Amino acid sequence: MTLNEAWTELFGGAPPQQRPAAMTLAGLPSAPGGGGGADLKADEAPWHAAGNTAGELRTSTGTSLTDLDSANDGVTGATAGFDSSAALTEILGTWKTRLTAVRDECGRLEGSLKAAGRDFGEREDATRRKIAAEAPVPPQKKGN
Amino acid sequence: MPTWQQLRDVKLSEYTDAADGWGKVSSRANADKDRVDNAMFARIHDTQEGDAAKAACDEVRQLSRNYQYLHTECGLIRTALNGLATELAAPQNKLKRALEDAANLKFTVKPDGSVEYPTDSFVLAPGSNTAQDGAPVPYAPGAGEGVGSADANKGKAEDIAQRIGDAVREATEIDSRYAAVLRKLKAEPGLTVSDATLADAAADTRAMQEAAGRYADDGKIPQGKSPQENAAWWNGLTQEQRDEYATLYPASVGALDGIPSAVRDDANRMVLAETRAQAQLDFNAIPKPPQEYIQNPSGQYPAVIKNPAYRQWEEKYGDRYAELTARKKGMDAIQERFDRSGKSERPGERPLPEAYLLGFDTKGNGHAIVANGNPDTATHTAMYVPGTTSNLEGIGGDIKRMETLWRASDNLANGQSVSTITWLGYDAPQSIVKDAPFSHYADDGAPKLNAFVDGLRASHEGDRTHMTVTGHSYGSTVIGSAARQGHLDADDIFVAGSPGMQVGSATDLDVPKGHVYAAEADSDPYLGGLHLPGGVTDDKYGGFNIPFVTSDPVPDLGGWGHAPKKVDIDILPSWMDGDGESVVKTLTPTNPDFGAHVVATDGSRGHSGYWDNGTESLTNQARVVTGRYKEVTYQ
Repeated sequence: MTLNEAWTELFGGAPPQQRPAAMTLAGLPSAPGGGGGADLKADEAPWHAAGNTAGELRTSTGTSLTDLDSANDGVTGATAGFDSSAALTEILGTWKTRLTAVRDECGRLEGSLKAAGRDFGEREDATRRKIAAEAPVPPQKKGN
Repeated sequence: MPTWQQLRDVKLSEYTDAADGWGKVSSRANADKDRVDNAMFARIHDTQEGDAAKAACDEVRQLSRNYQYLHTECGLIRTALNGLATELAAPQNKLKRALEDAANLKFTVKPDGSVEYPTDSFVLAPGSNTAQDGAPVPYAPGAGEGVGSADANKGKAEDIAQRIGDAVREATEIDSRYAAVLRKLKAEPGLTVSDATLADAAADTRAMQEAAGRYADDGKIPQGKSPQENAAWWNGLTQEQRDEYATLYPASVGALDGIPSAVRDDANRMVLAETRAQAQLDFNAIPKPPQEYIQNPSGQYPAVIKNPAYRQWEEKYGDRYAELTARKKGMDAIQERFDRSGKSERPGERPLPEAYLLGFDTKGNGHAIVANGNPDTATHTAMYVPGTTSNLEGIGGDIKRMETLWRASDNLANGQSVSTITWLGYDAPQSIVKDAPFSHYADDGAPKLNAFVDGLRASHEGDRTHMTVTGHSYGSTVIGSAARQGHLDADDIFVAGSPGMQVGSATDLDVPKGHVYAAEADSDPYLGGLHLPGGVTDDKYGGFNIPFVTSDPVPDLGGWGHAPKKVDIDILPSWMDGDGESVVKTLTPTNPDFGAHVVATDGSRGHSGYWDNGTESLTNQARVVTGRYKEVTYQ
């Protein structure tokens, strides 16, 4: 498989003509903790985008935690004497723990996916330079 | 256990408000799961080789399982709280009516639930008495005792006391039932969602069906109704009711023709995840098979013998082991299809669209309906009915065929959306020799096919769009039977390797004239015909579609093949037309007398090559699926 084929299979779209050009992905916020930024190598894109989704899921899961708190707030006081309310209080804690774990995992994945994207991007770039140095750029495939 | 005061004062709206919160968390988790699968897993899966990439995929998969878990369990908690509030309303109202009656009669309900009443009697001295819940024998409880009493108020007070007691007892029963089921809905600590956890979720669902059955009754889910009626029922529900039915009865909702494909997909994925987890657990519980062959301990011939321990194992676990292995294989294949969403097979191709699981169960040979792309929004929909030997275990191959058809069709669709569906919604014959000659598999499957197609029509958003029904081998017989028995609401029919469709003419197939297409590869071994002595068969069109069924030169028509037979009595002597034999022609769809377009199949070999990449049979099918009729090539 030629490099260009590999490129399109991996990431879709047209392969770069020569060296991978820096590609600006509209709408992507800067990666947290420095590095990356809006200017990304195209071959980082899938991992970076997945990382972004993880970040959005972290927010979304945080909202769920808040929802559970506000929804269950006041239940115990207004339903005194009912065992179901006691049961609800018992399980509420376990779900808040689970949601917190999921939220934190999203945060961790956001960082690690973006970092992996940068890592893979660098490797890809290095490989490409090496191949480019050893052989002429493979001819473009005609059509699709 | 609540007192009557607590029952009077309980704010049931607090439970329904809490339910709304849990419901939001459940729905959000459902949406988040889709985002994990489509915006994370699909992007990183296979974009890189190596341990790091694999680890990342596993982590993302685990995240997806967490959202699945949250969707199910928080949805059940929502239903429990709604059920609790709804059921408690009845005893609370009963209590309130009793308290009103007491107040109107100027009785006093005391803290213990007894009722103090003034004496109302001509004979008894004025004063007051107290009525207890549960009047003593020999009088009937409650109101009964007042009859004939010297005190006119006694019976009324006892009735009120009884109603108060009843209300509290009913509330207590409801409360403890829901408390017990709620306590089962604890989240497990940590981030792992193990197979055991998912299997527990399925058990929790069943427990909730029991506990909340009075509130969310599965008897209200339409059964045996038309897809239009199913859709009308669904559309008449509030969003909350829909969510509740989908999480509480995912198997029923997932199977309901006519409701939105996205809803069926969510419900069936839940069933698949839980069934798959359970199958893995059951499989793990079976001891590993011992070595099948061992060296002959006697050192004599034969050198290798069957291990007696293996025989024992096989006798005890063999069937179950094989069954679970088969089931797991099919479910894995469906999961693998999910994982291929967003991926291209070759450079320049559009990535595979999202999968929709429109049906799934493990009954019998197992069933699955898997769509590539949402049929509810597609401009062109193709559904495929697989043939003999298809079952859940082998669903992977049938799914692949429709992926190939999706790609071929998408290439021709000029940007219009295409959905291709593998419909294994019937019990296919499992043996070519023993089962396939029988019509009942087709006759039983046909109404299900019609209902599924009608369901797609009902769930489609906006105007009616183009639909093609395709079938392979015995699947084409199901299609023919569907048109023969009922109405098959398709626009085009495309059959490949058909042993006959139960009808003798394309015009019997419900689609507009000229919209039946048939493919038969030259080397198709089942269809080439078997020449028999006596000129009974015609080896070009028909013959023995299913060989080896019988060697009787005049077989029971219909007992072999599924095509009506046409007898051509040749009265001309052989020197006039070079033939001289009378023949029985089988009206398979590729027989010119049938009246279908017989399409070119160049490149397709044998009975199973019709969906191979690059074949004319595949391209012609894609042309029909996308409505490019003028480009279809013929034999």
